[in-house]
Parts: sequence; structure tokens; C-alpha cells
Amino acid sequence: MIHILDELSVRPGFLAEVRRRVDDDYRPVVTDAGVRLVGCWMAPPVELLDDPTDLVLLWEVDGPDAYWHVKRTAARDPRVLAFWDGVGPMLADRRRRIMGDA
Amino acid sequence: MIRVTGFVYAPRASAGDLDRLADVLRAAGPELDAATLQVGAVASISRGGGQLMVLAAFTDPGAADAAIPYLEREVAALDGHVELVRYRQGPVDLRDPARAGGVQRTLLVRVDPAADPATFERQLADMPRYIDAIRNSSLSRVDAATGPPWTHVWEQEFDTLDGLTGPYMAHPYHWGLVDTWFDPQAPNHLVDSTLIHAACPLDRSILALGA
Repeated sequence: MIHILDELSVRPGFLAEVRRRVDDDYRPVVTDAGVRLVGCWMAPPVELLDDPTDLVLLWEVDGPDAYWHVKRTAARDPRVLAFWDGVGPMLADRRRRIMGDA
Repeated sequence: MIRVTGFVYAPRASAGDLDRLADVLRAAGPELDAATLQVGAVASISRGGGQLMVLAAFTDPGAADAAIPYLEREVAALDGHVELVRYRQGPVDLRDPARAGGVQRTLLVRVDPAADPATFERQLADMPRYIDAIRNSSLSRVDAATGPPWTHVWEQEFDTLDGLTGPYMAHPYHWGLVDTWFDPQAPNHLVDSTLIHAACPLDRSILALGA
């Protein structure tokens, strides 16, 4: 199993909109490609008024073959690229980590 | 060592025409003063590599320059074209310098000119330290290209094509670290999605000549 951790540092006031776009625009496309959402968290557990709040998304795919399938399909899908372009201005920073079993 | 690598696109040429072209180019190596000039059929797993790969190495930069128009003329005679890059061979990681046969894989990429490629280059060049299937490898910066403005050539030699499609693709160092530079979804993405990924049979190690 491969896990993909997205840490989105969301600017104040945009948390709900980013979360909505994840659910409405991004998740359906990557789910079709074999990516499953394991969980979604916010840290700290309250949206800050003056500083970014992290939206943490944990995804999983079955293994290397499934990972490369996502690369050949969803990662090149214009809807996925439009999602990242669209949320970009709402983010102060973001990090993506690809993780394997320890 | 000065390298010239070419990808021949001649979609209207017959298999026989391509075989004859490959023979002509191979035979021209000594006349072009090439240290080696190998030509191989592009493997079906390739992406954007045309029908033939031309792998040439020169000690004399002038000979490398002169080879480029020669190759273009020969391919044009088949109503095709050849996409060529010229580069000084970068640092070579040799695990099997005496290798004969096997498979050459060449990846031609364009890195965002506004990005600092240092970490990308280091992590890419480190792949053979983690992935045993890579027998010899070298990362070079492109000096000149006849097509798109390619910036880097990543070359590896494998025992078999399975080494490339199996252990190389399945290794976590590849999908978990290096690939993020190529992933449009990753924040550190810096490699343009238009690239050439091609493999062909190898007569003998060409990277060993540049060590």
C-alpha cells in the first residue's frame, strides 16, 4: 500500500472553500483512477482567523502499479490540474509526501 | 566525451528501409570519427522516441558537430527527421563497465528554466545507489538540441528491458521520491510533461567510454 499525504496550508477564510473543492472537484476524479481518501483533518482543530490552517488529506493507492496508473491518468487530467491551479491562491504553502510502510 | 543522441522519426518508412538506414549510420561511425556509433530499434514501451535511437560518442567536439548534419541528411532521405541533442557526458556511475549487450534507456527532459535543478539532479543521479537494476548511468546537461529546448539527458544501461519495466519502476526511491519532480500534482514539480522516454538494444556500454 502506498499512502499520499497532502498538507495544505490554507489562508484564513478559505478552509471551507478548499474542502468543498476537494470533495466536489478533485476527489471524484482521483477516485476513478484508484485513489482512496483515508481521512481528512484540520490542524489546529479550529480555523485560525489570522494565520493559515492546515488541511491534511491522507490518500492511498494499492501499490506501485496503481501509483503509475494514477500518474498516467488522473495526474494529467485537466480537471486535476485545474483543481490545483484553482486552490493555489488560497494556499500559503503545501506539501505532498509519498509514503510506504515502515 | 561529447555525446550525440538522436531519435529517428520516419513513420512512412518500411521496416526494411529502417534496417538499411541503421546499417548505413552504423557503418559511418569511423568516417565520422566517432568513438562509437550505435543504432537500435526503439522498444515498444517507449514514449516519443520514434523508430530508431542513435547513440554516438566523440572525443573531438568538431566531429560531433559535423555528425549532426550528416545524420539529418540521411534520415531526411527517408522522408523523416531526427531529433538530436548534443552534450558533454556528465558524471558516469559505472557498475558494469565491461558490459556487452543489454538495454540503453534514455530520458530527455526539459526542466523549468526558472527552477534550481540542484536537488533534482542529485536525487536523479543517485538512483543507481538504490536500484541495482541500473548497471551504468549518467545525467548530463544538454548543450544543443535540434528540437524542443531539452535541458537534461538521463541515461541508464540495464541487463534487460525487464530491469527497466520491473525493478526500476517498482522501487520506492523512484515512485516515492524522484517521481515527484515529474508529477504535475507535486509542489516541487519542475519537469515539463513533454518528454522522450526511449529504450533500445545496446551493443556495448557507451557510458563506459565517458567515465
